[in-house]
Amino acid sequence: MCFRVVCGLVLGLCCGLTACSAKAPGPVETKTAYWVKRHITVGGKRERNPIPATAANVDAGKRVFGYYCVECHGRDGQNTGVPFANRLAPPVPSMASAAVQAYTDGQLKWIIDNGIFPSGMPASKGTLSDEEIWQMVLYLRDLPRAGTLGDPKAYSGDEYESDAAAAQQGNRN
Amino acid sequence: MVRLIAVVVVCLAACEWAPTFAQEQPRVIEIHAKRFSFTPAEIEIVKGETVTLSFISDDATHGMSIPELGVNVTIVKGKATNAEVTPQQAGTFEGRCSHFCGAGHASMVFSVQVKDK
Repeated sequence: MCFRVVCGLVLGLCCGLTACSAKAPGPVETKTAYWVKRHITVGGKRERNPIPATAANVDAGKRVFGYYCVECHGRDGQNTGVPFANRLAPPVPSMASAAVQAYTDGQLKWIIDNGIFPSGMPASKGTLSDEEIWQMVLYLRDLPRAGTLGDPKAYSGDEYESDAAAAQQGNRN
Repeated sequence: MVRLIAVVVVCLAACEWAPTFAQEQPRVIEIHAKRFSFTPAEIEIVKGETVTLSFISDDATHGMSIPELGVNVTIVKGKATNAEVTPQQAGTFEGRCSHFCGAGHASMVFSVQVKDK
């Protein structure tokens, strides 16, 4: 009897959690989550960025950020042009926000390496090299003014345009 | 007669130099890039030797960056991309794909072993 009740509660909880709609967390939840991440769960706090903050390295970091981070964070790291940035739970934070900038360089590297649960932030270790991730951290510390870089290409509505152009070129040849 | 001798001398000299010119052509090492590796992934060069690294992509666009040897090229599918190197220092020089090519991009690494003569 007791076993059935426990199973029922667990099942109910699982169903309840999976059926939750994507609602933005309240300010208390947000602040608590950031505090826990910054002080407890996110590692790499003492790690230093070995790449010097030269203009060339910042630019390289911007290029790396453009590989796929822009799809969620926008080219400027401030969600410009990302249609769902405010509709995720939790919403995509601006990389220029005080909460994100409060992480140490090592913590930013750790987050990019390992991702963050529970959020949509994926782990990039193995997909990007250490050097590329450190360069990206430099870019995160030197972001451009919001909106100055335009929208990510992915949201231009031209996903298949290059395929069509290539097919047309093929027909001509 | 003098002209004839001159022509013969020039011809002999040309024959003598021709093999020298041929020897001076740099060695070409062909390297194929394919998601997510380079083949070969490691090459060996002698210090001071001039070598042409000829990169060929077998699938998508890749890149090769070997900072210590001054190599940084984009490898487009369908044509060979060449980079000439003459390493002046012995050692191991690491390279990697410098053009994002997918989930295994970071595992596309390359190594140049430069040996002393």
